[in-house]
Amino acid sequence: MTSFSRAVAVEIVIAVAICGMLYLFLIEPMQRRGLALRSQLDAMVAEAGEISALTDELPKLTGAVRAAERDAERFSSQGRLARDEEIMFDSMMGLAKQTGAVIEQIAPLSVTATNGWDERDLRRRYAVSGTASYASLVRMMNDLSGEDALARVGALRVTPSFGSESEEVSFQLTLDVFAFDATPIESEPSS
Amino acid sequence: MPRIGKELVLEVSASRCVLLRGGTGGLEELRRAGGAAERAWTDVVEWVLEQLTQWATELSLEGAPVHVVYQGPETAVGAFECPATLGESQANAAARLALEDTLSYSDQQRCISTAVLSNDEDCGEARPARRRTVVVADCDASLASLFEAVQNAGLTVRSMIPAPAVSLLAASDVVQRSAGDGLTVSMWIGAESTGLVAGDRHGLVFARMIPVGVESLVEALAGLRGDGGDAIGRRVARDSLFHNGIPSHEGGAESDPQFDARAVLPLLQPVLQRLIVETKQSVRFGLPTEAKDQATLRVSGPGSLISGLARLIGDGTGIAIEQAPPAEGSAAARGDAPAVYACGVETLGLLPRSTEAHRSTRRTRRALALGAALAGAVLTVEGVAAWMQLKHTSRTLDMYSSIQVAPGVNARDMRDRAVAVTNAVEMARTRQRAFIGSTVPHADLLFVLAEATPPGMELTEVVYAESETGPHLMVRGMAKEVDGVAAADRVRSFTRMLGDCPLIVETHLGETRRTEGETEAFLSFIVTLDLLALPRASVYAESTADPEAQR
Repeated sequence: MTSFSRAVAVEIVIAVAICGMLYLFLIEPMQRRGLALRSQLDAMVAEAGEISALTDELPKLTGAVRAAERDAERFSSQGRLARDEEIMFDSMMGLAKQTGAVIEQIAPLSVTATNGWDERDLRRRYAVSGTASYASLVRMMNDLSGEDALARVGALRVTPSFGSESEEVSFQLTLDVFAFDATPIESEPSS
Repeated sequence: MPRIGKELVLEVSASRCVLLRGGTGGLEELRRAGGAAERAWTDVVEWVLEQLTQWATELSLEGAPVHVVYQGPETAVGAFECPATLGESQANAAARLALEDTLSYSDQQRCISTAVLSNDEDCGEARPARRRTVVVADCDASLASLFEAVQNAGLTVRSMIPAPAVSLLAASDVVQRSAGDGLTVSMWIGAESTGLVAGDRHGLVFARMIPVGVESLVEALAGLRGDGGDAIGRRVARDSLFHNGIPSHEGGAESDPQFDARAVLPLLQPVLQRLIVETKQSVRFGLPTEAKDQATLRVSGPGSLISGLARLIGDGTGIAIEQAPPAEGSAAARGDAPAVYACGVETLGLLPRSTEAHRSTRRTRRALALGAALAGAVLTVEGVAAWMQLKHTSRTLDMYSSIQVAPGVNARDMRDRAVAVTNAVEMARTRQRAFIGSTVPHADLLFVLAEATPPGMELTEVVYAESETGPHLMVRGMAKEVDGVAAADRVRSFTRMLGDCPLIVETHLGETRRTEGETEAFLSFIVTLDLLALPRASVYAESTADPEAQR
């Protein structure tokens, strides 16, 4: 390679290097920043479109939230027996009085965990025993398994009351009362 | 092609140095100097430098561009032909190889240049298509010394053209301009050499160079003894030649009684003889036999201005001469300069290797600078475009950012809240269905048991329990015979009635035992019932929410 060729080759390399540096240090960062801003802008435009669509749906959303909150309130109301033992006691006594049964004992029992159980929910088990006429017992059982009560009779034993002339029967039952948590997980409000 | 009035032409040989300039009225000879023909090239170069320096100062020609037509001691010119199918680059290479065989200097010492002389048409088997190339070469040292001399004198050399190449190209130009149907033999008698080219409108038949020119005649005539017995010299010989022409054998020219044919012709005869013989041989061997009789010889160039020269050649060769009557040409027309302006022969110009390399470097660097400038421009445009795009995007972004969300309800928060609350309720409902979604209607079962128990039967124990197989009810009781109905029949009737109840899936009669009491016998029994759990209507009630909104 002649000195001329070497000199020209070096000059070409220098020129290419200068052009490359100009591109890398000036233009390429600008293009990268432009792309980033463009993506940000696209995201914002998409977000604005989404918010606009949501705003149109706001009445329906509000209705859905209120209905869901009513349902959650109902769950909360139904679960008061499990959450408060006094209410449970008062309810049982009131039921007994209403149906003519005599509750002699209400004792809490321990419950073992079962599959699918959620820690946020509450489950209490009671052993209830007492005496009642057969008809009263039927009425009491009807109310215990009623539609609104989140209670479930797990076992029942009915025997005639020996030594009594009346048609009374003795009963022992285990009663599970539940409280299902319908509280939503709160999230941070958007900015 | 040199621009008339702008560029100079310098004719250089061992015996002469002529500086000319083109103008609106034609070529103008600015300065002329003559010297001995038999000189070493270094002496010639020194002499040229001296003359040119002086002329450049006198005429204020500093930096003026000049084309140098020169005859060096080692200048070589050749015209070669090859099949047209080879292409121009291969034809050039072949011509270079052919000429290089005749050169005495090495490859590293030579400057060489080629140009296309003609591309002949295909005229059948007799004259297939040919490509003719003229190639010129010179020793780098000779060329560089003359180049440096002209440059040092203050002029700028545009090109350096060997004089024989000028004659050859000028003769070829005459043939190509005539373009007649017949064959034309063009003889361009230049200052240092003569170009002889034959051809027609289809192309050239032959092209060759004869190293005899006007200066050869001048050199021969310069030895003529004048009145005082001294040689008349080159200047007087040139003037006499162009003024009086070639005298005929019959006597001296009328214009100059002292220009005696008996003294002049013997001096000119060797030169004329060589010119005639070379022409005759060229025509004889170069032209087809049938074309020789019809061929005409067209004489041009500075030699055509010498009266009687064309006639002598015609007589000597036997070819009809076609020539305009010789005019009183200007001094400038007595050299090769007109051909430089007429034929554009500067494409054949030579330059010293160092100058060629220097100019090549300069051209490459100029191209590099141009390329870098273009790249810079492209980068600038790219940068400006990117910057504008960036600004536009930033502005749009700022505009979007500045839009304030209406105070009050945030739609997205409301959506998130709706999703969260609905999901929580649905999850709770799912769990509720899993654990208490179905139940056994105990009250109804107790009622059915009471209704199904016939007189004479007592239930002693009712136990409800749940196992892995489902809910069960175990009923224990006693039956006795009443009104003639056997206890077993009563038990059977009892189990049948229970079996008809839709809440009971299956009835199993277990252990039965007869027991003798004090007064009567009893039949104790155990009945096990598989029960059906019914779904709770309240648990499966639909949500109060709008299904569309809930979705």
